[in-house]
Amino acid sequence: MNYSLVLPLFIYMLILFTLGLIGRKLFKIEGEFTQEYFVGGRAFGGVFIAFTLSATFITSGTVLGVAEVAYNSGLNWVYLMCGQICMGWAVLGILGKKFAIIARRINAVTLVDFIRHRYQSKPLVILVSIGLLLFMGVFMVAQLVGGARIMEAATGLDYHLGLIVFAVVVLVYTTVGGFRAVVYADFLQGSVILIGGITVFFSALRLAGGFGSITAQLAAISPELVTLPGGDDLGTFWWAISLSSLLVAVVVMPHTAVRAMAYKSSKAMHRAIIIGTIITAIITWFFGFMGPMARVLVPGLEASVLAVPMLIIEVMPPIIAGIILGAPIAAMISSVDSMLLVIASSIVKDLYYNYFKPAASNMEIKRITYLAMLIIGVIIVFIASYPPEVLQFLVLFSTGGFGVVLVTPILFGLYWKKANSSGCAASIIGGMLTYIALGLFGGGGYHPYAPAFIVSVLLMVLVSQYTKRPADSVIKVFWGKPLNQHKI
Amino acid sequence: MDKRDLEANGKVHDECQYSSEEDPRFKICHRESLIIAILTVIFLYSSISIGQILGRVDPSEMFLVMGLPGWFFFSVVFSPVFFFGLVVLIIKFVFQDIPLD
Repeated sequence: MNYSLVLPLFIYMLILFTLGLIGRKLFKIEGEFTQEYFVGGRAFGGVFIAFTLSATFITSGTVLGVAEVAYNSGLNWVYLMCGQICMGWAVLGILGKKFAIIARRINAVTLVDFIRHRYQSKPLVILVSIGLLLFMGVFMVAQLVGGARIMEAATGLDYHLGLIVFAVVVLVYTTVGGFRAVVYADFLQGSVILIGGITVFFSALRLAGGFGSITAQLAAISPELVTLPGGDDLGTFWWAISLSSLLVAVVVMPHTAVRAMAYKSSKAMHRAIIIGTIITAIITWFFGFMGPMARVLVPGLEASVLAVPMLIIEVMPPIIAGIILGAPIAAMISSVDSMLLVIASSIVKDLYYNYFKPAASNMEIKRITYLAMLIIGVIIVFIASYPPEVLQFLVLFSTGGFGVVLVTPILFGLYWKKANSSGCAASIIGGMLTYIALGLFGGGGYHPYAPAFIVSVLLMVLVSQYTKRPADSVIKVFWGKPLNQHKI
Repeated sequence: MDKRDLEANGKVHDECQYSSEEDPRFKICHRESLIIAILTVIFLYSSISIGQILGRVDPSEMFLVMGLPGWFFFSVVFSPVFFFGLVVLIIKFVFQDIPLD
């Protein structure tokens, strides 16, 4: 184990841990437990929303994964992935202020709350909740496994030890501090990712002799690295278009979308869009470009997933490298904390409270929430300790899976009056079948989410058009004007 | 269990608080979301197309911008910056400040 790399990382974990405990003091649980615990009382300004939103949807996939593929395939993969920069404006912009207004009207703290009030269908809620729990769980395990593996390979930190440390830290500060602690922690982690990315990027750039020299050296290795479609023929039009369609799934991912309920005013939202886009762009560009840079500076890596960690170790002095190695871990942890909260809220609020014990008191809800967090944590760590073979396969499916389950119910429910529960059910089931069938048996050359998306939209429109319209009471809540403007 | 508690947990669904007349704020919301959605689609389509049009070249004939391959510069660097500029203008001049409660 390389202590000069591992020690700064442990200190960083300690800081996060303390932050959770401090958050506990700041965090008052009065009356409205779920509102406070799961959306932080909807009281956040633009800067915090921007940081928590980008830190949440920027997983270790962006920080390590883009460079991992780009190390071998070249600039084409950076080109394919840079579409995600628009998520900085699209998540908040497309869900929009209407989503925030409706969330306040129905006191929604989860996406399923929204679906329950909009469609008022118990089978649909259960279908969506189970889908979410499954994909969320897969996502979380994958993040933890990835983070612990990288740290083991880069610093020699034992896989199981790393896993336990990361999991305990996330679990503690998220459980004691709720959404508020997660937002503050995301601010810290977002800053670590940003500063780390900028420092390493410019140091590596100087060491490599500027863009011109990098381009020339890449072209000398193989012309494919600097042109399209490039290595492995990845940079084709259809790959790019179908991967972009996957971005619509990111808009409605439960852990990102819940942030679009939590800003305090429309001014905060405007500011969050601007700051969030800048953060997203810098992180996506800089960490993505580290793949091709690593190809030049640290050639011959056996596992290309080590491109970013090895580049960091190569261009930075040891102690600083240890601190900056915190960046990929921060990206991982800042996504896992939000997912943990979403899973807990889904179990407690969407299933337990609504269907098992509607009369539960605040105290009870609180106890159940803590208990649920603990159990989820233990299960996740257990699975991550011995990751099943099927995990990699499920991960590939999960982003598109979210999309199939959530895109049409949320976006059509928000903006189209005729959308109803039959339309949703048809759309989810039809979309899922298409997605799985094409994923298993379809030819390559495109991402199977794109056709599944088209199928689910068509089914949503057709089935809703010819079945019963939603009840007037629902339309009033989702489109009507408040009768009493001065309601508290 | 008091009403505040129930409401906090999303149980009270007071449709009687809302009229069948449309809330004018939603018109603003719908327009803003639509503009952003269209802009996003144009952004993705044009970034991808720029790459496809300029990127299928031989490296020896490739033009460079600031040392980066030209296609890469325009598709991956310039296009996001340009559309981000548009987003900022839209927020400044089209987006409206509305109460959320």
